[in-house]
Amino acid sequence: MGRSVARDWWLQPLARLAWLLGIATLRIGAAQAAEPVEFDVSAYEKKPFEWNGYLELRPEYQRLDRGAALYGLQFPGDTRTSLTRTNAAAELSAVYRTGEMRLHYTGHATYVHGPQGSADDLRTYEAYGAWQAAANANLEAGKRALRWGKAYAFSPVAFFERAKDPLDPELSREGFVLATGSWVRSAPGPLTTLSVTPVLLPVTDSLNDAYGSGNHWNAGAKLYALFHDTDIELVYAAPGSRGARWGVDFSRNLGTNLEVHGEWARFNDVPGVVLTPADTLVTQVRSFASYVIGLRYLTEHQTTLIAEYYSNGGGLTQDQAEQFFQRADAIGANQSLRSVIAQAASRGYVGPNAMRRYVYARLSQPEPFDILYVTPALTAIVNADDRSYTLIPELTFTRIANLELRFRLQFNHGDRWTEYGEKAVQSRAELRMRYHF
Amino acid sequence: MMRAIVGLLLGLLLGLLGGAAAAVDGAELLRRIDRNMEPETYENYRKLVNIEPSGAKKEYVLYTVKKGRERMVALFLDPPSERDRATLRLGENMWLYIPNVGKPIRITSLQSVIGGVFNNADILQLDFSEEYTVAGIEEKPDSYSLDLKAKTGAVAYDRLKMQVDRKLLLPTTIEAYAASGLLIKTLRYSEIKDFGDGIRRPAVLETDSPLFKGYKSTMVWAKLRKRTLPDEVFTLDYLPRAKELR
Repeated sequence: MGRSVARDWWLQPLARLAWLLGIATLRIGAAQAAEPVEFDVSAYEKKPFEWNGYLELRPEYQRLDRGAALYGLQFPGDTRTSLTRTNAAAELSAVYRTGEMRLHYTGHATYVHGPQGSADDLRTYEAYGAWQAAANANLEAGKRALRWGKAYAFSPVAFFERAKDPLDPELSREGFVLATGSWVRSAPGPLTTLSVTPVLLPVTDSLNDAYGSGNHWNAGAKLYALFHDTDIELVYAAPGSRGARWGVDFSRNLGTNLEVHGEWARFNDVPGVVLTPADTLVTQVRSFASYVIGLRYLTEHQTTLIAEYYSNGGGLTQDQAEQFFQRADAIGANQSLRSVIAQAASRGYVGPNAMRRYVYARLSQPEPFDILYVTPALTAIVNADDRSYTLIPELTFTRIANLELRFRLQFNHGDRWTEYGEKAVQSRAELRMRYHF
Repeated sequence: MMRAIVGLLLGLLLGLLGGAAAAVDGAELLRRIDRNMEPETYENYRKLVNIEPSGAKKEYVLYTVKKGRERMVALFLDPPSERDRATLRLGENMWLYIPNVGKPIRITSLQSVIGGVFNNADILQLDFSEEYTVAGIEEKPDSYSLDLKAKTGAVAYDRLKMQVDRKLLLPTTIEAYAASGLLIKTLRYSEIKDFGDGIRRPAVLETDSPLFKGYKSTMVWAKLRKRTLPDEVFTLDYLPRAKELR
């Protein structure tokens, strides 16, 4: 006998609902129609000849420290406590393409006008030919600016480059006449990329004399690998105009907001000068190692911190630097010291990273507090040996298309006989106006 | 009553079948969405427009090539201050090349290369299925709602809530969240366009962010077409020559 209809009253509507649901899951939706959106790409496609560059005007004001040891060296017979200077620059880059060949050129012109006179300079930063022999093989020959290394402000492994200025590491630099190329291999697996970059940098009496002396071919090579998401490079420079050098660098992301990097290099038979207690310069050949370790950290609000520690094995000790500054300070009373001190200054006693240990930090924040087009930044370079430092606050403004305005201050501070304490320039203000075209 | 029970069972069975078809393997659905958005290997030109709260605009033009699931290069063509800057993405690794600096530097996916609301992860977007797993899927009459979870901590956004047009299998809206639950940005696709070669997808992407109140960024696609390139093009060695790929 069947169940009571009254007790099964829910079955029929439930059956109907289940049927409808079953049909509903097989429903097909409707298509959407839309208006097309275009922008003209023809203006951006590759052309046989392309060029670009910038014009720059950079007035600056310097406050001088007449009591600093280097004042007498830079401003002999002068008593000024400040100066203004106008700097101008222009850079033009061009490329001409024909088939798989390319010709590159970068020229850089500067003009300086100040109380010590005017000077202008025109240099070819790069002028080289390139041949893309295959997608994984490339050859270049001519004046070329190589850039090796993973660090930001310091690069011990930059064996075939001119020195970088840690106060402005992103400035373009003049290259050397050389031949180089690269061969690249990509593969699945932990070793994602492998590449070899050989270099040949000839030095003669009239060629690449800034690199070294003698008649040498100066061969070198770089082996790069992307291994387990880590950039690793082994670099080598054979003995020639300079002693043999070799090194390694790495770079890796740790998460979405932290990058770590480092470089280590060994330098053999590096000639340098030492100022003796007898106020003479003697040449000394040394071998040493240098390294840098650093990080780049980014917050959710785009605050960027770059921090690096640099150990320059070939730099001056604190005692050597103190002795130099004391002798430089004595020039006023003993002019016969000027020549030897000036020579020492030009041969390593004065210049970026002249001593042994440095800490670099740069903090930047694009458009803080919703202030549009403005990026403030603060850079600090601390001499970890003598505790002197330089502080560089700056403000960049990019409201006008293709025009970058950068206002920068610099304050040098340190005790007597320290690197930044004895700088002739105590503080500086500059406004860089750069127009890109 | 027997008829009612059979009807109920048939309805349930139909519902299960239909439900199974609609719920579809979430991973498979995401892969289909990826392929509908772009071929696995392609080149395209894009214009990015950052709109400030004042209404002022800054525009950028990029050329992009992508290969497979993990390789992508983006080259800046405009404005002149950014020209020839290039970024390379290889899986979770990203690098930025600035001509003056002369060497690629490693960057993070959260970094904004050009300012505005878009960051590197948006400009160098890999396949969703490459970076996310489908943690949940909700079916609606016209759409799917996907809850995506990042596969690794290296992915820019920890979670995505993606609304997908059910017919076209194309995203319409994506909300991107940090691991803390913070809404980072909302992306809205529109203007379906036929690019040829079987590619039919949104040509416009608009985004805004509670972290950048009043800002809006728009990306417009043009000349999207299939193109096959050797793997070696997607390496640090080639990055300084990225402008030769056009």
